[in-house]
Amino acid sequence: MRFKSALAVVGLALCGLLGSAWASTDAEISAKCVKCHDEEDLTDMSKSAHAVKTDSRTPVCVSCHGPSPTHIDKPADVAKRPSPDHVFSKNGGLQPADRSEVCMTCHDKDAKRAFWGGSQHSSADVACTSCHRIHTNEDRVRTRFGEATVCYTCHKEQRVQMNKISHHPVPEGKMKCSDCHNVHGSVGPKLVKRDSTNDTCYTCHAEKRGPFVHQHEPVVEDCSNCHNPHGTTIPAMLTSRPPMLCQQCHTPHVAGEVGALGGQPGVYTSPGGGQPPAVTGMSSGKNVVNLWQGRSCMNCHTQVHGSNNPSVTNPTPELLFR
Amino acid sequence: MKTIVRHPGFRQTVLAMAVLAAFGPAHAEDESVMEASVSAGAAYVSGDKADRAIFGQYNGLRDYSGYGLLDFDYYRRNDETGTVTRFNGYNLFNETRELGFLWKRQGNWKLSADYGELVHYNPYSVNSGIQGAGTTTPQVMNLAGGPGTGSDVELKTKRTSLGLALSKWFSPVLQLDLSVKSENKDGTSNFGRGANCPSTTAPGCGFTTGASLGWASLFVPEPIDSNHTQIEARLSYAVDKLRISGGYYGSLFSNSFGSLNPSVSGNLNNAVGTSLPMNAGLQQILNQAIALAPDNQAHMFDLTGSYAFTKSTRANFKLGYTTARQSQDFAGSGLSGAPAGVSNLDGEVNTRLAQVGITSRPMSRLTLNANWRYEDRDDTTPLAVYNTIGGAPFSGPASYWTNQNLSNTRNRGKLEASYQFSRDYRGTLGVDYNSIDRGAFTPTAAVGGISALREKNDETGYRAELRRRMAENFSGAITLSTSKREGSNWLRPNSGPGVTEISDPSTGFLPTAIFMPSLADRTRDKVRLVANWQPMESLSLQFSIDQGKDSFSTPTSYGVRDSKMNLFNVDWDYAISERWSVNGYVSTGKQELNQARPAGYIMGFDNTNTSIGVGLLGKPSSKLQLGGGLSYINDRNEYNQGLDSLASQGSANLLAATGGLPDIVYRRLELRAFGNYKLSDSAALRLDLIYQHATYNDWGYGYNGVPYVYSDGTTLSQQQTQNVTYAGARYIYKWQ
Repeated sequence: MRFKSALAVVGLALCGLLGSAWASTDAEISAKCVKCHDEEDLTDMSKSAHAVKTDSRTPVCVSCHGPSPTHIDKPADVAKRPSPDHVFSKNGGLQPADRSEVCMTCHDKDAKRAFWGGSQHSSADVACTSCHRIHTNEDRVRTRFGEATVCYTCHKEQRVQMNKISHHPVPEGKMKCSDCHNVHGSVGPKLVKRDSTNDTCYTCHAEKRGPFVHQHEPVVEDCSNCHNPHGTTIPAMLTSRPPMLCQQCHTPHVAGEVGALGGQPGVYTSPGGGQPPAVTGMSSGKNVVNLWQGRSCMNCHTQVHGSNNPSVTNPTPELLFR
Repeated sequence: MKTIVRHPGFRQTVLAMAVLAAFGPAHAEDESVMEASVSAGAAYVSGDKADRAIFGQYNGLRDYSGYGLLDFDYYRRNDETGTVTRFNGYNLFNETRELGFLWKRQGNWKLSADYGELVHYNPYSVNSGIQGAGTTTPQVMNLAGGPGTGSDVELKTKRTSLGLALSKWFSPVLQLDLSVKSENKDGTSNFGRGANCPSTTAPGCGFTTGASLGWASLFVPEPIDSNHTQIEARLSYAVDKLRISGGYYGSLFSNSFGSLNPSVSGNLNNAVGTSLPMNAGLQQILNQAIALAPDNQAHMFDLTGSYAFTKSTRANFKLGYTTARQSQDFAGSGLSGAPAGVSNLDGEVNTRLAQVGITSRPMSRLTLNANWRYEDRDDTTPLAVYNTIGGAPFSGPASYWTNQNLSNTRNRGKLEASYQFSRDYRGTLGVDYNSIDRGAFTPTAAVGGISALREKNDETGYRAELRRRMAENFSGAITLSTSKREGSNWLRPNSGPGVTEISDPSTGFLPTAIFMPSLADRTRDKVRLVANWQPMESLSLQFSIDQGKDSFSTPTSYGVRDSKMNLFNVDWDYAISERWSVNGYVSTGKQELNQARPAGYIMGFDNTNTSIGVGLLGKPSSKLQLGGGLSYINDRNEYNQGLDSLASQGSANLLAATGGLPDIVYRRLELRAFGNYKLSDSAALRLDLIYQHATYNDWGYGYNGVPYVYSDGTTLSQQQTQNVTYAGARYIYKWQ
């Protein structure tokens, strides 16, 4: 019953959309579509945006699938009924770019899709229907848990990363891939929503924007110099564990030339060879344990994203101590 | 290329009424549709907080064993007016609750409101003697009873947001969108402070002796109470071939706390846990104010659009201007010691953006894409002498220098051609270009702890892709890409302000210099292979292999040398019957990073990950739906250390004694199952079960029974093995 209502709505919209010169043709087509493609064939889409009769933009069957005269009225001399003009399946359907072109006939007005043409997904032969389901009330890619699953169809590396212990709450359904990415095209790198990686991060982490009195240049340049926002096994989604991360750029100035931990032999006990323990009561703060454990370099250099402390009193904050 | 003819406009016609009459009985009864549901129940979560540390990071199920469950969904649609009303709520008894309201007349107007809560629990438990954690004036108290005798400190942040959005379609060609979202964030996060005496930045404090302490590493949680408000407005106009919109985005961040002022007194512990008084210089340093994030704002304006020159050629463009400001008053934030006459940073960064792109299909088989993006970030923050280093009692005079302006200009371009050789073959060639010009180094500024900087980098890459459909049910694609990054001459920081350009790095830098991977010459190569196979109607398979390598070329052998990755995936989906289906995946991969530290380690870091997932969904009867999934992750991080030729005997002995750093392994097995039983057309019962077994042996805060102990006895810990069982039952009632 509900499906017939939806079709009635579609039919009325069909008549509303078209001028009287067209109305009779499309109304007849609509009636013919419904004869075969009933509720056993298609799922309920009565709640879909594509079924709202009062919206003058609402499409009808032929808007997307084409007039398809030979599909509707099978020619007598043809053994197999020809397909509709526009088929959106992988097998025997339109090429991806042509499928998207059908959708973009209406959906290119939205500024969010202004950069679809030439975007990474468009260039990779991802069509609108690769991710979206039209004949449904619940388009999986637009649901909180379903979106990531659809994205993982191609983005396997991100699926692995999201399962790591330090991650954004995408698996928990509190964030979606589209909270950071505009999958329909963007001027930012990697399809980030805003114009740059950092601007995208600042939509939730605005406290990192600064500018600060004392800045940390790789932070200002690109958050992904240190972080992998999809997930890692290191706290704060760092790409590498401090002090290794920091020592990719910085000259070491402390002990801890080799990594060692407080519970290992040689650290609080003699490592042998006549050498004293690596850490004794007389050790300074720059010892192997402070360097490789706790917050590592950030045990002292706490303000790694930058500091707004203006003090010229020693210790001055330019080394991001405070 | 197929084209669609659009017919804007809306007219009721006699024929429309006839069609309406044909569908009449179905439509006349359903002018208004209403659906509503409420689900209520309860859930039990086993274990304690320590067991739920990983499980309860984001789902609000960390603190207690019992939870109420309440969701609702209300939907109403009037087909006569086209008005839709939707009101829903999720997790209403949980601290991750959400409420959503939508009221719209599609194509005419839309009003929505959203309320959401997001909580994050740090998986680590803290035991500390600190008083006033979460305030701006915590008091560090040494644990007289030793590590583990303090109180629990919870590290948790909560975001609470409220958003409103309005859209209005003035006509089919003119649309206005407005939205505002305000989010409060509060809580505490892992933070601290430390100092080591003496240093050139702290010449007044003394060495650690047997009688007094000259360093400290302290746990001082960061208090958070901030608001971030985001405002967006966009006016869009679309007619004929032109699409154009003007937009504004405002981001306003305010922090209730300007500084963190810990109070540190009494004794602290040395490296082996002996309680000692701090030397006078150290205590004064540890009690200095720590700056917290200042208030800041950013305002972005853009003009975005596209133009269809022909049906096959379209251009898009964006012009943007952003101004970011930060002028938080230092004194008002509790921060003193600013240069004379300077009350705030008066920070200002203005960014100009221009992007233009064109796509064209000059022939049905050929697609061409080209775009260019230009961004100029201009940091006009005033310079002042914020930095002092050296001076008495160290030899030599003190040095002074200013803050640094971090401006840069970036260009990014792409040129791509795709050709459909046949229905089954498609090839793509692409060229990508990236460059960044960081501008001249601020001559009155200085950097510390850096061997080399670089003003410019540019990278050119090439891509080739071939997609082929081998058979009706088998297709694949292979993508090869390679890129090379180079840059301008390296810059060597001076002993005081400024840098010196070095034309010959072999003589201009020490042999132990480190050249940053973000600036270094780099070659990047990647291969990707994807195949999709559907051997039968009910079974689909996907295979993919990714391999990549970054090789860095620098004047010395220190820093990052190279990194590699490979990832292999198999995914499957099988419809056992009309009622049952199963899906799953296997992913296995490895990442390697080779890095060397002068006179220290040569580290071969390996991360090996295997992930397996299986899911089942079925409907054994018309009343019962069952589903479940099993997932397993095994993530191993290996730190394989060798020794640099300059390493000391002490380092060699230590490495031999320790055997190197232990592997860090994260394993998680999770079983999820649900059952939905239909009691009647309007009622159902749902049961959810989750079992999670996780192990994680991160040595960051402890190893082999020896915790990392802060100078006041604070320790952080996380249970290595965590088991959680979640059982939830809910009753669902629907109205229609």
